[in-house]
Amino acid sequence: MKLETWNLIFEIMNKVYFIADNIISSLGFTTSENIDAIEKQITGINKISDKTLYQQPFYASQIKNVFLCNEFSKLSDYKEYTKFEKMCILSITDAINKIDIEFTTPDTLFILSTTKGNIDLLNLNCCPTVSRERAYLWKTAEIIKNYFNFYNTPIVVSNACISGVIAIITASRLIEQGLYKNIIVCGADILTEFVISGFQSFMALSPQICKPFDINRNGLNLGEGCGTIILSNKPNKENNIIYCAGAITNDANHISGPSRTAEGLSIAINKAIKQSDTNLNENNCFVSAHGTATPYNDEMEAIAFERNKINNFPTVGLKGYFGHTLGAAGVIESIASIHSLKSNIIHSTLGFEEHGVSIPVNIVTKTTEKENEFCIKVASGFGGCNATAIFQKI
Amino acid sequence: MIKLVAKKLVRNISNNIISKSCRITNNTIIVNDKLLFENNNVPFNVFIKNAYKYFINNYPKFFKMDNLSKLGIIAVELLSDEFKSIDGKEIGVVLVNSASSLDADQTFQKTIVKDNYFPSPSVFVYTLPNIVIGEICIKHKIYGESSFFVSQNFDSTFIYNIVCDLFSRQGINTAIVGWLDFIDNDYLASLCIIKKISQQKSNYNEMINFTIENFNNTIKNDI
Repeated sequence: MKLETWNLIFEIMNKVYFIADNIISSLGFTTSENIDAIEKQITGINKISDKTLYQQPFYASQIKNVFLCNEFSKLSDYKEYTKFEKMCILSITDAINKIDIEFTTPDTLFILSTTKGNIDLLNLNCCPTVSRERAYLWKTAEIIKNYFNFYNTPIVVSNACISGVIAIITASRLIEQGLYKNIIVCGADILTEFVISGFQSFMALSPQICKPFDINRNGLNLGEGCGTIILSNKPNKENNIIYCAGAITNDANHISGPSRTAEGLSIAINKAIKQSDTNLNENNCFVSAHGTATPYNDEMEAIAFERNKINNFPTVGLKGYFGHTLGAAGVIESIASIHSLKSNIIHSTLGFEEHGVSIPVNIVTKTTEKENEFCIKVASGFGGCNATAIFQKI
Repeated sequence: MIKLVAKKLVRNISNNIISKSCRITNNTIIVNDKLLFENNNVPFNVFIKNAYKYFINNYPKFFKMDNLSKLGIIAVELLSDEFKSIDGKEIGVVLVNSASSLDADQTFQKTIVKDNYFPSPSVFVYTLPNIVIGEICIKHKIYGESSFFVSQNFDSTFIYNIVCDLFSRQGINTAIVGWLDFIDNDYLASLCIIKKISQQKSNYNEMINFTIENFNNTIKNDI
């Protein structure tokens, strides 16, 4: 095919606008509550003593069930839905209410991003009246879909810690192709004995509040949370951020350890930057890192940043606020990045004190006013998977 | 109007082919509609071990894997001659199932009950459905786009759209795509290789065009 034809296709490809969002976490039930807390450098991570979750006290970011049920009872009977479903329904409701669009039509798709969904239902003592079928992720998505009367069968992305970024990339590609007008991406995961015991068996949990990219970092904190972002082929007044590029790769190296050469993440960043076809530099772009605060992850990311010569870009890690919210992380952190671009404020990497990776990375240490045009969001996860999305202010 | 033209162009250039398919279910392995392996009246773990010995036999990592990964590794092995000479960065993997990693989840759940609490990282790591993609990528040195989706049934239209986009805009020219599900000893692997038409070699006797209908017929996930 001729180059001109290709150019034609690219030119008239739909743009993808981020038109509304919501974050639910221990820091609050709206995006603005969460962003305010981040700007004030307040953490949502606390010491939790709950033997139904773990024998010893541990640090995590937890949404109080009482608050959740209170908020939810304004919408519907809280007893009919699991904690996971309540978070998703509340979050989607808040995002949808911000805009005047009909979402029950065939041109709207709902994508759920989660690693474990209602995994707590495998414990037979949990929610005994709820059908065990809801441990199936598609069933959970269907329950949420039915609540909102969405038209299409939902899609579930379950791709470890990059699920949220894959969900946003997938949604953007479907809109670019003209297949849908609006896509609601909701990412969520909850704190469960299942996930805590698993990460603990990996010795991946920090005995304190996590310290991304710090010399003394010693593991991650888990968190529960939910982020909803609505993507559309049409802009609305207050929103001027678009999806610019995205790539997904695999390390082909190890199922639980990050690649020592950062192969997969390097390729993902490289592909996304090439696809963006823009001149990204430390003055117009910042990086939203995955930054779990495990020794190997942060080191791997630093290598990938250096290989792409972006390690001098202002770099932010948000795990010190929310913990690692797994399937929600990519969505929540993308929403925070989008608000950073909008408000010209770069967030700080809470927990970071002394530089602790082998490559110099320009870690942002306090909330800073700075105008940026682009954000590179990266994520990596078990299974050797990596994703990069680039957002742009227009 | 101009958008319609573009959509048509995208569709036309996506005139790709389904070059090979593999189906594993009910103790049988079928490749391109031909029965390659059968091991009746044995449980899955015996069946899949025998299939491993017959088709691979030099990859001891296989024995550490969970059921879903074993199923995926064998199915992809039987398709691998289709992408052996392709650059790993240009190969994509898109898998779908209904039960996510619930089989491994149930195994792990049994290790965290009261009075029998011994969670192990080697079991926990498989409690994510995309781990099988990681295993496939490690074995075949695949660095390209990979995603795992969960739905009750195989949504061929959705996956078709995803694959067309990989081919037209994401630098992928070969995709390993399909359904891979394991739960309560019920299992079905139904995978195929999709190739960009420019990759086509003349020695394909039976060429199947990559259309939604052909794709759906190839995968048919009725257990």
